[in-house]
Amino acid sequence: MRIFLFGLLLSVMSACAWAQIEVPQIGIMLDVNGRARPVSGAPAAAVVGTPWFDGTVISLACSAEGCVAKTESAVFTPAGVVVDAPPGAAIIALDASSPGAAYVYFVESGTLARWTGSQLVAMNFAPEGDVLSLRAVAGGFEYAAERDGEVWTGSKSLGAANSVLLLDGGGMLLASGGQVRLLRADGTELDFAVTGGSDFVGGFIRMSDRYVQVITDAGMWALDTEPGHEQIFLLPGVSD
Amino acid sequence: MKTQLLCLLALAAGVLEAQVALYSLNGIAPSPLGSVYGYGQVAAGDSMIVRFRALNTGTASVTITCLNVKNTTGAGFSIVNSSSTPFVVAAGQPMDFFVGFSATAITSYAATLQVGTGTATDACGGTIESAILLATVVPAPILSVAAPCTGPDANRNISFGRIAQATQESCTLSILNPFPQALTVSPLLVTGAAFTTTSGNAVTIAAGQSASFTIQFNPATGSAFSGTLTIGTRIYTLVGTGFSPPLSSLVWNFDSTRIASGEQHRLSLGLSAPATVTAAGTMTLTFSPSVKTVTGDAAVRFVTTSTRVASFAVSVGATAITLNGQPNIVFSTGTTAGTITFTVDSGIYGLSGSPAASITTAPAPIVLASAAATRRANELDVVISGFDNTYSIGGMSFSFVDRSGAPIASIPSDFGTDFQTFFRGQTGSSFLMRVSFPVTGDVSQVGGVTVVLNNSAGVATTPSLKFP
Repeated sequence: MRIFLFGLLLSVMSACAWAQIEVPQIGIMLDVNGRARPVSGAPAAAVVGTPWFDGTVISLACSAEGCVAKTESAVFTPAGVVVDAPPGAAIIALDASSPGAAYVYFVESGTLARWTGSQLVAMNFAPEGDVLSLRAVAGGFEYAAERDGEVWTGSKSLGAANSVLLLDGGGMLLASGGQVRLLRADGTELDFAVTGGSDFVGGFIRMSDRYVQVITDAGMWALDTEPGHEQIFLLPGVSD
Repeated sequence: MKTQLLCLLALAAGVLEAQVALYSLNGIAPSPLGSVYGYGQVAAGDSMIVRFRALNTGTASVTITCLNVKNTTGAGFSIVNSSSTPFVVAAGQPMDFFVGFSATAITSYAATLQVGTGTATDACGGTIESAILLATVVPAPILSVAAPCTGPDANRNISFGRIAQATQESCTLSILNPFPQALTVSPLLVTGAAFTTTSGNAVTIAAGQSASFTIQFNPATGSAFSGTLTIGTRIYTLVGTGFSPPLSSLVWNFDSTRIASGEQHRLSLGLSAPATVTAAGTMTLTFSPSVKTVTGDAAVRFVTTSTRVASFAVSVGATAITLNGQPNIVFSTGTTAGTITFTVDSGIYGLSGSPAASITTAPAPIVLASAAATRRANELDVVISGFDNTYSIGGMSFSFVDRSGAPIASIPSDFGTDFQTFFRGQTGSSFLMRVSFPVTGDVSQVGGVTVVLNNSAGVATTPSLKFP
């Protein structure tokens, strides 16, 4: 009986297999001019596309479900939804459990809102310290903040760092000087140097589910956070 | 009747006489010629040529039938170039001619310049303008130039040749007094920004003796220079060229000796010896695919600028070259097998040795970036991304296993046509392939799949992909 079932399965699969081929997408990056550009191709041989928004983006987060971006005065999505927002940069945490939704923390005003995909809903939030990163978790969110010269998540100190990004699934990225540390939820750690450690890491941008943009004063890097595929490579610059 | 004719001739002569005025020309500026014109001192054996002009100042044309220099003291003056006579000069128009002087005897010379409008049988009988020409021949020293300089040539050019900029070349020059009496050479002057001398402004040379002096040529830049050397009545032209010495040969440093497609590498560049000048130029990257069906790969370039040209610069005394202002530059090898060539163009500075270096990315089995298997209601999906630098991907084999890991079946497939269609619109070989297997029956019994992908360079195999 089992053989019969497998034989039937085999015949159907052989006759109908079909392939769809496309260019692999790495994610969306912010170039040095603040333009959000798609990045495609192989990681170390990537190419950048034309900006998908004719304006300066100051904060961005992307996943397979889409992107949420912040200009100086609005939150918007590539689908064309634009909502007025407090001025300045924002920290955006996409909520994988609710596609299209995100938590958005406005740095200048120190306020938090829930992005539903079409509007911002204010939330009560009294962080302890300067918020550096947000992460959506089941039933809410977590954040990393700096206080007393150290980065904290909850009651846990991560030590001194100049940038941090909380990753979905419990991991995080920490930057100190020209060094980026990938801390997994299981306690493992990988270190990456950018340009021999001479560059200052100024921030992280979530390009996609898998890739994180590492912003330094001398170039843009991308870090592949996929377990087993971790690598860092230089993102293409723009010549125009 | 005869009286009337004579009166008409007299009247005609008077009219012509008023129509012609003589000038000498210094360059293009005419000066009215007085009764005496002095050539001044002329070195023995030298020649001096002066341009004169007979200008028709009247309102009617006049025919100049006589143009003559009559040496009255010595024999040094002569007309060296003019239009032939008779020469009709229209109203307001000039007739130019040249009178030269050259003699060797040390004495004074005189001549009379005549411009006439007489009859054909007595051309200068009706001379209407004339001037006395005077010249004095003075002893002329003989100048000789020692190597490495050359000259003076027939045009009195003394060449210092070509030397590296910011270096110096000295040449010794000698002035010989061939005469039986002492000779004072004055002035003795050197002009020109790149030329200097330590000699005085004049020198007295005993009979039959020589005096030597040096001239230094010191070109500050890589260009041609000129100056003058005045020795008494003679003026020589000093010429020399400064050039930028070529940079020493390039030292290419790649961060790895093993370079393959799909990688980023650092290139630093140096010189085998310190630069003698501060130089700048460009470095260009070119790519020649080894895959015949491919013309290029957009990802093969300098990464931070997404261009194939970078600037290079090196400071005087340094061996390290900066590329786009940095000590090194990152380039991507792209996803196509081929040869990447870097070529330095140092422009006017020149370069010793080869200006280019090449690296080759060999054809390789398909490189897999990710692979995953997913299950839908009646389909099994296998998603694979990677690149194939041979562009020959197509043949594959999907080996399915059940939940316990036991083989179910191995299904060969050939998506070569699909990939060739896909590659035609791309400038790289990166791909994301989603293969779907429609299934009837209990799909959940299929536990995993392993995919073998073939290309012309070999075989790549995914890990065992689990269906969730």
